[in-house]
Amino acid sequence: MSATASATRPTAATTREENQRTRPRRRLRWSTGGLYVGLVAIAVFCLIPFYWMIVSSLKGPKDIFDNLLVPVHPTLLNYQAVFGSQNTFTLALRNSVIIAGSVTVVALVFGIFAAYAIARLNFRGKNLVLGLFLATSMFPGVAILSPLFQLFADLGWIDTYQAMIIPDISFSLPLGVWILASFFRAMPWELEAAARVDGCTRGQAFRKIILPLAVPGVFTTAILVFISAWNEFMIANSMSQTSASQPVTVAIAQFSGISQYDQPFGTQMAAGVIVTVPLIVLVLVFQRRIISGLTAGGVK
Amino acid sequence: MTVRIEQPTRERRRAPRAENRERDGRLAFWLVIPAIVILTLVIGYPVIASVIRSLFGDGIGETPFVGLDNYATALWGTGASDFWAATGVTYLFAGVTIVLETLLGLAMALVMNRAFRGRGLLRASVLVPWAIPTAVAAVLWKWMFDPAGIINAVTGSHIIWTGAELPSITAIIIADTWKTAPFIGLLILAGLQIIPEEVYEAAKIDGAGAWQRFVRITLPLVRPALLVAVLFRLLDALRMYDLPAILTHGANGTTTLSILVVQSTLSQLKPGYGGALSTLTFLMIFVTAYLFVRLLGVNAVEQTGGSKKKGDR
Amino acid sequence: MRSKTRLVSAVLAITSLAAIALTGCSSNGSNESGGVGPITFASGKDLTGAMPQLIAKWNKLHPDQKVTFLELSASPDDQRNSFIQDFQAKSGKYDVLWDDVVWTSEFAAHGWLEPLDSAKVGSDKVLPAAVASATYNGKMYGAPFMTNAGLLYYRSDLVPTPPTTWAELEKDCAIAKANDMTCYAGQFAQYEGLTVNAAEAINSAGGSFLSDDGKRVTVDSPEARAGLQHLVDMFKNGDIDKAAITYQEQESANAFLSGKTLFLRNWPYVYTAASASDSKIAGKFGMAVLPGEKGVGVSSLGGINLGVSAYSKNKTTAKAWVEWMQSEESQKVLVSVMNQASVLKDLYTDPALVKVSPYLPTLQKSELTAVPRPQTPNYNAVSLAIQKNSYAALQGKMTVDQAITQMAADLKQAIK
Repeated sequence: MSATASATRPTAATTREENQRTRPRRRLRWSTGGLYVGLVAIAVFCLIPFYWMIVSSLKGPKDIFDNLLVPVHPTLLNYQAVFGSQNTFTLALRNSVIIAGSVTVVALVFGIFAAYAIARLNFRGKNLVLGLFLATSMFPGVAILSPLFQLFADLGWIDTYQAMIIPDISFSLPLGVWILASFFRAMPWELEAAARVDGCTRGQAFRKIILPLAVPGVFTTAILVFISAWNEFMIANSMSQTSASQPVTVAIAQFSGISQYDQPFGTQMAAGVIVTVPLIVLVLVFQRRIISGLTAGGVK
Repeated sequence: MTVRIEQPTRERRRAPRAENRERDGRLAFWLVIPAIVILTLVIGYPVIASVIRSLFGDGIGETPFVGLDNYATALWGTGASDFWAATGVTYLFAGVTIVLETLLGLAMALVMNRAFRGRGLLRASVLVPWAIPTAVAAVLWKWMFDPAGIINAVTGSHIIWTGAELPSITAIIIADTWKTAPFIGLLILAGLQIIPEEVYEAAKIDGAGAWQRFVRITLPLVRPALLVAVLFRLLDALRMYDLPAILTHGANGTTTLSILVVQSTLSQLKPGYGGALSTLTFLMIFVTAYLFVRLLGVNAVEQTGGSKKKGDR
Repeated sequence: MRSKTRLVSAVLAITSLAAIALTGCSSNGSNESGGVGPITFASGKDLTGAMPQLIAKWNKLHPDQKVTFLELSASPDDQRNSFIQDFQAKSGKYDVLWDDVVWTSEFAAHGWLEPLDSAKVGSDKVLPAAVASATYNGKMYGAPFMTNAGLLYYRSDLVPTPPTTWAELEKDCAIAKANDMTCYAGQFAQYEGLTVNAAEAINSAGGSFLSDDGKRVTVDSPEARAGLQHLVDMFKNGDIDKAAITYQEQESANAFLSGKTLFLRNWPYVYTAASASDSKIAGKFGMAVLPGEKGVGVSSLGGINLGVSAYSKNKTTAKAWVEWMQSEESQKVLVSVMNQASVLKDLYTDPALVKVSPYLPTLQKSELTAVPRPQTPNYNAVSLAIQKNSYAALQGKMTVDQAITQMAADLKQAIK
């Protein structure tokens, strides 16, 4: 798909002037007003349940069900309980960072390689490979669980990081490859050809030209992979058995109330807030990278 | 660094010469093989094991070879009513949530794409639903939908959300749409980045209105990204497990196919029957995905990087 | 190109073969019986924080047979999955297991538990229902450790004498209406708690689910219908709040603690919250045995048996330890420090313990007549059959007659 559709020139300067005189004001009002309405609507939609989560995390066990939109007696009890002696949360946070980080790095590397091959190279069975990546995302997770547990148990890998990192990579790879492949595919061919003519090897052309242009795709993939590895529960629940390797999702599931029948809602919400905030910070830091300034300067 | 003098090509798309293809093929092989090895090991091996196990019966001690009996039980035998009910509800969830999430995701992506003050904050807040761990989000929605919970308190209704079929299904759809629309929004946003500014500029100069620009430029050019987002979302939706399991325990007709598989495999220790169910689920998902890609046109796949059927690029 | 495809297939084949070969060779799993040495106790989450104290006592007495306390999830489903994964891997990593009473038959039937000496862990000092819950095919596969029975909580300021039959309870519902409360609350969401409540209703009316040997379905009876009808009627005429169809233990306890309901069926744990200094109903409630159709009702038995893994390498120690956990001094710690119900009959009337938990005599009465839920290897399918059909009847989607008939058919399918 060519990235440079032919740019048509205006037929007459007068038409352009007319347009600028009569159109912009109307367009501006509609689009800016609509934009702000849309902004507020989207922000409200996304944040209201999160607001309720924060509010609930600040309510003590007596007020937790009072349905008040603002806590009457806000308290940090729940947050203390999260880090309390019964729950080994700091360790879980460290485990999550290690696991999610490793998954992201490895999945990106493998994904970039595979996506480049699919998008830019010519080889037989390309559709088959794409289809294979897709097909591996079609199985219910539980079908993979038991045999995998058996395999890892035999390897002595239960309660280790790799028992969670390796399956998580295979869950994220397919989507990552597809996203990155579409990005690489959209890169103009002339860039690479020009670089090669100038004497770059394929690898150098890739590193210096293609990769920088694909930064939005890479960062989008990185964010999605990190978040999905951070939030993965099923595999982690089976493969990790002690707090030495349990990530936060498993730790939260093990929060207990005062009796076995009490769901510690406040503590779980506090833990949820604690676990989500780093992800939001991550996105805030990298959000500019997921928007590109893909101006056409490179081609011309 | 050796300087190779290549014959300049006039058309970008002329197929490279044979020896380049050979080199390409080998390079491609080594680039692709790590991903394939991991996938084979982690997914291929358990799946093959599960399919083989599904050809045997379930019982304590003896597990005789029963061929396709487990499949027959699921499709038209004693498990049929549960299986087809689960199929129906799974496709209902998938269909409704995907439509809602795509529309919302598209809206989110268009807004996130614009430049305005505080856009970083907006982009981060859009990702909040996706970032909250599913289990925590499910517990949150479960308490929000409690008959004495905040949703009833604020809207003044007395609906027993998790107590009857339609409210349960609605609750799950709402919770799932909230959680996943940002995911689609982010993918579409990535796709919007590929569309260069000049195309819009040219259209504006030509006098195209906002709506026309949207329909004639944005939609067609964002199609590959849309395809990827909706396709993967489809695969996930058809395997939905966490939300219905935590919100309703699968009661009130909200037992999805994945819940059924977990019930058989983990709760009732019937790996043969569970394996048959999960293979059937895979086949249905496979057919659905195939039809979907066909519907959206092979073009979109090609734009993602696949090759056209006849000949090569 | 062709050589490439060949290479790919070769790599795939080798990978798969390697994977299969690796799983083929199971590392450990030597089934040597006997063996004295350190053991691992895989327990559910210890909510009292007192289990380590108890274990430390043993470790002091037997320094070369130390017990390691491994805490698993608080969720019973997760515990069960962990145990099953350990059994299927035959690793013997867990020597002693925290066995919910409904799992014992299942684990025993699969050959995962070691049979124990019933003279030692099933003597008549132990509550008979608890012994029954650990017995499968005539042998005992667990040492009863903790037990639980359902009780009727009632507002003593509004109802001076608690009802002993359903008819009396329904009469007392007038008091609830007069005070703008609902009459009764229990656990009616579609989950294990509903199986407990439905079993109590059906058993109290004289019905049962399976024959003693677990091979015949016996629920298709007028008694079972009468039992379920009682609950369905209370839903229909508003004596049970419509919202109760979503109640689990916590929601139903909240309803009672906030004064919304007159009667509550729940486990003894609610006593602590109800009698706390800031409780709305402190001093205004009492606990009684569940009411039944014609007389006192039958409660479902809950609790924990301690099972010894068939793959344990130190079975002698494991067996000695579980016997020790059932001894009087250990059970005293269980009751006084951990606030749980003992399996020993005598500990319900000990004055020191009754001072801390005044409901103990009532609880004992309930336990003496309690009935375990159906003992069968495929307990999950059985429980699901009971839950689904009771739920449909309570919602009014099926008549009681249809629900029981369907339940019988589903049970037959489940125990095949």
